[in-house]
Amino acid sequence: MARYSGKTCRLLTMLSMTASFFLVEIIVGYITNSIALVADSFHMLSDVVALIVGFASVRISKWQTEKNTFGWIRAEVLGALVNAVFLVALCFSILVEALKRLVEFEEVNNPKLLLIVGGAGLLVNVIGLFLFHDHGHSHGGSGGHSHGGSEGHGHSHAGEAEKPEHADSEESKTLVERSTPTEITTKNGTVTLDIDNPKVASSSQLNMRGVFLHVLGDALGSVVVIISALIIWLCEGDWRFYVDPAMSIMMVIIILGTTFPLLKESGFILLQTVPSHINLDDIKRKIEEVEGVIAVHEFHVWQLAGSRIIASAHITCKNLHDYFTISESVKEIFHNEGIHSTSIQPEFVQNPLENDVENPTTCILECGPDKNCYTDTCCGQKRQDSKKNKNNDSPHREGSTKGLEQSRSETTAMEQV
Amino acid sequence: MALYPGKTCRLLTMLSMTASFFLVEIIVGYITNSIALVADSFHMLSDVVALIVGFASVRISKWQTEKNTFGWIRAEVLGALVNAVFLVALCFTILVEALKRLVEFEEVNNPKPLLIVGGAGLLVNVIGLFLFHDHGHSHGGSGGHSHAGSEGHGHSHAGEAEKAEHAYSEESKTLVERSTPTEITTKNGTVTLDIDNPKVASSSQLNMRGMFLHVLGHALGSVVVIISALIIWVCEGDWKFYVDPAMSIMMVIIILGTTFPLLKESGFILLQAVPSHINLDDIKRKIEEVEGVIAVHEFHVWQLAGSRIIASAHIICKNLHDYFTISESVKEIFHNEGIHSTIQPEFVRNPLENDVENPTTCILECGPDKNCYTDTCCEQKRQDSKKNKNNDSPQREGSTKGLEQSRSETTAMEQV
Repeated sequence: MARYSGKTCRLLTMLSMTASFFLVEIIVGYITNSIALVADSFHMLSDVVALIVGFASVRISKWQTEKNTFGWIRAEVLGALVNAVFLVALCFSILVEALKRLVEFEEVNNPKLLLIVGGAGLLVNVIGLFLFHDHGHSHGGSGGHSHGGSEGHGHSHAGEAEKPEHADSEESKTLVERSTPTEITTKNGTVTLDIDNPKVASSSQLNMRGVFLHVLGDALGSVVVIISALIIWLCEGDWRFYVDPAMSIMMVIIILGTTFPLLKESGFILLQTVPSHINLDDIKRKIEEVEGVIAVHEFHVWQLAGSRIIASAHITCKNLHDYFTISESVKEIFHNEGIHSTSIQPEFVQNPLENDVENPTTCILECGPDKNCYTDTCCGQKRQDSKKNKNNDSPHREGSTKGLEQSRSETTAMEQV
Repeated sequence: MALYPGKTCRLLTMLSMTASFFLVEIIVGYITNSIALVADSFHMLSDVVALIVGFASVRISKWQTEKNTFGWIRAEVLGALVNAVFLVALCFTILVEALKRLVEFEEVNNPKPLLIVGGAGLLVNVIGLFLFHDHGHSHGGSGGHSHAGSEGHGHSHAGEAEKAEHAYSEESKTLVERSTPTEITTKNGTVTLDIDNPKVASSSQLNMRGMFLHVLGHALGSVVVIISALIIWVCEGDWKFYVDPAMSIMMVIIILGTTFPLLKESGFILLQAVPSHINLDDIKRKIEEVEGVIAVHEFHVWQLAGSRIIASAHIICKNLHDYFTISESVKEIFHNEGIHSTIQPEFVRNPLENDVENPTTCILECGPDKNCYTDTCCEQKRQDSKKNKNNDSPQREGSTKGLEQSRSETTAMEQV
């Protein structure tokens, strides 16, 4: 079981509550032959689906596996995206229904039923709000929107997207607790304040941010249902049947507005973009300023999930001695930026005195210009350009015996100094 | 403009055809006050949306940027996933509508418009099939399902997911052409046959595979509409109104069956999974067998997009001399698997001791005194190795002490 069984229990509670609400609605709907209830029950089902997606992604992200070298840690990010897209698709269908009703309104015959279902939905929302408020978790539930027509989707349905944000992983709790300076480490006399970067949203935090918006949006949706039902009940005239679709369209706009940031953030992580708080040029400059570094290329930084940021770089330097000091400094630079998983590939140049390497993007240890695999490299285009440049200049390959002898003689020369 | 303007033109043609069909339907629907037409027009709109997502992701993936170190190459994979999820969500709404109609059927009073719209939709599908058949592209269009009720979603709607598979990138053409041995390179006397790995689906191929299924499924949907309309027109009795929802449910099952593989494949790429054709243990074993390699750790292999597979590994070896030969061999091993890699060498203190106690301990990690192990890519392993490290004597290399050791070794070797 997860370390924080309290959270998991709450999540499961909300899931079962929503699922029960769905079952009750669909059974009562079939018995009373009320299409409104049946429609709304399916609406609840979509909530259940989103909750399941969110919950599953939390559990999957904890799986250990030998098969995948990064495990399944990204499952939460993917779950967040899937739920966001699912929500946008539902908004689309709700919008379609609302537009259809604006063209030709549907009479609602029993607004009292609407009121009851809307009220029950709001109740479930509020319970969820209290249930998860202190940990900033969403219940992901309900939204009892029903309509006395054949459509159950005329109302907006806030935030299935934020459902995967049930952070029961250690990560979220750790991140929340570690957002203040907690450690002071000394390294060669320098005091390093180890402050966890609060700007990086963990997979769970990514989700949590939308959680409250979801809960509020969902509750707002229930309120819309209640208002619309009251108007239909108390007022007269055909105009009242336009209230529901009109308010639904507004709700859809609000939900889309809150969902797009989530869609964007999770999408960017999956697209291997550089996290927004990382200043790439700045880091590259710092690395290049390290004594002994001649050039840096194949420099990649990307976010695996949450605060797990990964980098790789090829660093051109003179010799092994330089490499030792450089690697420590570079690791330090990365560490201070919050990047703790790095791979540094050293490349040793032939002419150490020539500090300006002609083609800093040329990888000395690439597969080889005679192998036509450059389109399969991570940055196909750049490699193609550097390949063309290489063919024009003299070969700069290191790693062959010739280069080795050069390095050996340098090392010996240095030792004699 | 893209290298293959022919393909882009066809995609845009299909997009405009579908969009026009949507506009015609919605205008006519509002004029004639036919909810069926209006409903189906929105159905077409969802097709247009999916086409746009697919097209946009193809274009975005070509953008050059300094900001992102991998560019936007993964946009097509993400586009494929988004369309797949979008399709599953639409299937869900269609299923809901069909189930509602099984509970309480909706009478269809005028099946003739249904027939016309169904026929037009089928026509658009068939045009798309011919339009893109030779390049294996989907049209992504239509599916003129309309109902003379208030629902437009009773029918399944095949494969928006495959719309993302409009592969106009160079990659797909290149990969298709290079699937047969084309080069023979010589390296130190060895003849290397450079065969592109046909097993890896490019971002576009990933899309293309589902495309034909989409076209067929979409056409099938139109056929369902036509059959249902004919039955309603020709037969009598209430049972005939159950044909549509019943067939829709079948269609949904078929679509979901064809969409899940796409969802799974694109999902796995985004989850940083190891491509299925890569045998991880095999590669690791080969690397460890290279002479001079003491241990391998932090070994990661993942697929960026298409055939761009990336690996990183930390390799423990004795000294610089070994590193040179090792790095060439290891790069060769990776290359033969279609992988491009970054190798971090780590040098051990005791070269005679070939069994390193903690092969997973990274010598160049941030440091046991820095509590950042939860922010590393593989938190658990690091935590274990940290515990092991605290128990054993420190084995850090990179400090001056270690450097002197290496120096003396190098000198000693030279004197041999």
